[in-house]
Amino acid sequence: MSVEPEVPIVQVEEVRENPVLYKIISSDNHVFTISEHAVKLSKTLWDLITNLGLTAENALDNPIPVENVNGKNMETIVQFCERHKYDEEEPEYTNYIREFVLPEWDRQLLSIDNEELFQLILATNYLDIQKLMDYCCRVIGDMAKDKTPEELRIIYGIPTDAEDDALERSASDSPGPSG
Amino acid sequence: MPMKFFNFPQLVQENILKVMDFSDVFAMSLCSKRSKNRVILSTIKVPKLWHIVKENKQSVKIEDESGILKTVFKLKDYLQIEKTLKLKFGKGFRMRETLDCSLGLRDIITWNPVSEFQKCRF
Repeated sequence: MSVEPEVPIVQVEEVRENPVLYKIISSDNHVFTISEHAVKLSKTLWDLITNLGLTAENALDNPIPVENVNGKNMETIVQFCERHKYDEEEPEYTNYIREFVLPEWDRQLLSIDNEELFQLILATNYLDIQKLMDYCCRVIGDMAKDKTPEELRIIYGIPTDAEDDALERSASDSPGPSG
Repeated sequence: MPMKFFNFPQLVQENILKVMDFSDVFAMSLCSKRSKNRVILSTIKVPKLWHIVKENKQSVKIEDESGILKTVFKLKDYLQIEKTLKLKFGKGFRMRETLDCSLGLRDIITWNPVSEFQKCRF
């Protein structure tokens, strides 16, 4: 694999205690360096690394291309993973409401506009980072705090029943790919 | 610009609902049929569900694992209650009935050991 980055390498955090580093290339050819502990937070990336058989010796020579995530989101994700790399493992998902406190550092990190947050959640979903997903969902969920259904409809862009029906009718009236 | 809830993948929508408060999840279910179905499909478990009717107020509360009661909503309108009877039958199920002279028998407090949000239809 020989992908030459056009943009200089972005060193998010120097990792002294763990010498194993991996290189990740975002969709816009930004290169990020991430430590082994941090990359383990992403199930997708860690599965990819184990399946490719990357080791401490050849990790930096084989950058991992991630086509679905741009440089800006990847930078946020790398920052988050480096920050939380030594955290305890998250408990498995249950069907009960989960209660946790969003730390101030993470709240600052996720203080971005709605469009960026939407893209970050899609990237997090693709990379399968449970903790970041929980924190992003908490930010979205907090928008609904103490709001009426009418306010929620505006905040979350939820169409009314009449709008949904009209959309369904227009979809069924329009000819399909063959017609 | 609104954060379009239904543009998220289904799993993300479920995650968002599962980190919300019960009262906010309930408010979401009132937005539209589609949002109500989304709440039902997320199968959020409710440890204990309380429907409380007192002389001058009615409310629906949820009791979590630590025994803390959280109000989902309160009703502003209530019916005048004249006499209360307490009944207890079965295991894990209690009920207190009220005899309302004008309307007959109405249930006052019920709870199920584990009930899901989908059973909580008002």
